[in-house]
Amino acid sequence: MTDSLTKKSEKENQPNRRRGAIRTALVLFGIVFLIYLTFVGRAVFTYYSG
Amino acid sequence: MSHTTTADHDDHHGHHPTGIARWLFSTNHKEIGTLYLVFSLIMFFVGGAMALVIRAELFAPGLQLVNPEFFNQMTTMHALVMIFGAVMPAFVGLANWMVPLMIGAPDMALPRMNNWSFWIMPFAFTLLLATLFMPSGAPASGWTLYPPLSLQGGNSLAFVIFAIHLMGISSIMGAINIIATILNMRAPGMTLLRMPLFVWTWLITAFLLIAVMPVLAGAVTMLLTDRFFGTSFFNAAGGGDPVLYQHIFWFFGHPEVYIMILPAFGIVSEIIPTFSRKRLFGYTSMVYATAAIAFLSFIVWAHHMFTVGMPLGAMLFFMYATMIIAVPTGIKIFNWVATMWRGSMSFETPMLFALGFVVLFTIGGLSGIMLAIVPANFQYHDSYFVVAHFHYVLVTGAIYSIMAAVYYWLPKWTGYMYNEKLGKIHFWWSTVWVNVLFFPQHYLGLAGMPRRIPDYAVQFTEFNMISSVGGFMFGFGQLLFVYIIWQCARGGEKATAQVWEGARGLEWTVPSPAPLHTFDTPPLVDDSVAVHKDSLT
Ligand code: HEM
Ligand SMILES: [Cu+2]
Repeated sequence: MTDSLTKKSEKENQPNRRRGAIRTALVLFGIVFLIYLTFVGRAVFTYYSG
Repeated sequence: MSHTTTADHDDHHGHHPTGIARWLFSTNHKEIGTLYLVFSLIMFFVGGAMALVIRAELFAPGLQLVNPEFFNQMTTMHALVMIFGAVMPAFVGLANWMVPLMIGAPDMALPRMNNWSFWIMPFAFTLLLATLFMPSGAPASGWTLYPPLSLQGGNSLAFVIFAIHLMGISSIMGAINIIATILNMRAPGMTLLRMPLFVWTWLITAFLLIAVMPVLAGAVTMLLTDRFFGTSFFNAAGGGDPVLYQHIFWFFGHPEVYIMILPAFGIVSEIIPTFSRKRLFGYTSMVYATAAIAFLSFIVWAHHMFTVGMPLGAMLFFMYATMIIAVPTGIKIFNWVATMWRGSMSFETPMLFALGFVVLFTIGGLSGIMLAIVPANFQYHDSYFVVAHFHYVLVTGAIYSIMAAVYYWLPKWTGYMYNEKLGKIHFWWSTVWVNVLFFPQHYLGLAGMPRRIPDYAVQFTEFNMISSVGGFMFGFGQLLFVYIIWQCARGGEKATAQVWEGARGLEWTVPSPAPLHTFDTPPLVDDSVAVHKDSLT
């Protein structure tokens, strides 16, 4: 079976999908971390600088 | 054919662990989905028991059964258990079961993280519930944990905050998994605009979760340091600002209420077309409306805090922004009605719950608009009117949709039909009593009864008695739900793969019960499979 998006066979496609999923997850974890830092980090910064 | 799933590491055929290990180490989306759903059902009854303590105390004026401290612990814990333990895990469980089946994926994208997301939950809730047995008792400042009150309780606050952090981590991992699955694992031909609406609404919900769970984590971290490490983020005496907490909390809190309703919109959008035997009216407008609601949910948070004192311009902004949400919400309701228009409708239990949802959720939406009117809010705020509002949107909204979903997909999960007659009794029993329970609370609020109090003035007696009777009848009726599920899991009339005559979508192409592994070979999706492009009309 050929994937209509990547034009690759299912077998060739597997590692791609897996890498894609991990990449998506890492980017999203990064976003979570940044949001947390903007809220807590900024508050901590403000707190200690005045 | 050999295994070509991305989850191949967990599939050593013939080596499936049995007993407790099977559930502890499972990386299978269906088993994890079941775990989530069972966990949520247990929490529904734990939270329900707390609600009945509240309603028992409020049956009559005066203090009868519990002392005020314990009463406050009950209102706080009831909300935390229901929101984080019952409603959210139920939707995550449904997503686990159905999203891979609906997009033709063999499993979730990150199966081991999926296992972890679930197994954090029992620990989080053990911590949370353990506070009930601690010397200082469970948290009693309301689920919003407003300082300064929340900082004046005992040391158990540390456990509560740790529990909230754990739930947050679990939700974030769950959300990331769902996004990674939907973006990377769709079967060939399953373009974004061919996805079923349940998948769409969950995709958008998952982004909301990622955006706001870290904000909640930040807010409670600051509470923790204020209480235990000498900071004064929210302590006016130390130069802090308690209102800052409310802004941060509701920046999380309002999107959170949409996290609990968008998947419900998705479920109802699956069920109504099936039992109307028509395609969903306005598929793309549904997708855009969902995205619009998600966007707007970030700019309305201060409607929860009109009475703290804000500049007039800010109040006007938040009032109008809130009211604008009624537009995409209205689009959805009209689309559901238009889907039914001239459909060949039948009224099996899932459809009854979906229709109950459309009618009763709308009542909650309308009281929401009343609450959004600033001058009116000054009157209604912190009264039972608010309690009535959010129970219509959450019980007859979110929870009705979950029940609809369970009846709809139960034959797919168990391979058997549930008892339709008992299902209908469950619906009508619940629907009568839920209104007896919550409708009088509108009047109580308008007449001035405050929320979160164990005692009240005598003129509120009658409506409170009616509400309490409704509460106990509704609550005990839910035992029937458990019985129906249990009976269906044990056997009965065999379900076909299609299950429902009008059902459309990939999940109905696999046998009932759905085998442990599905779509090892991805299906090819074209318009004939796409849910909204059918030719049934
Ligand atoms: C038409 C849409 C809606 C509008 C205009 C609306 C408006 C409001 C307003 C103004 C309040 C604050 C009341 C006060 O404390 O004075 C409120 C409270 C609340 N709403 Fe809504 N709402 C809407 C939909 C929803 C939905 C869909 C949910 C959840 C599924 C929800 C859940 C809640 C909850 C839980 C509270 C109480 C929070 C608390 O103080 O503990 N609302 N709503
Ligand atoms: Cu809100």
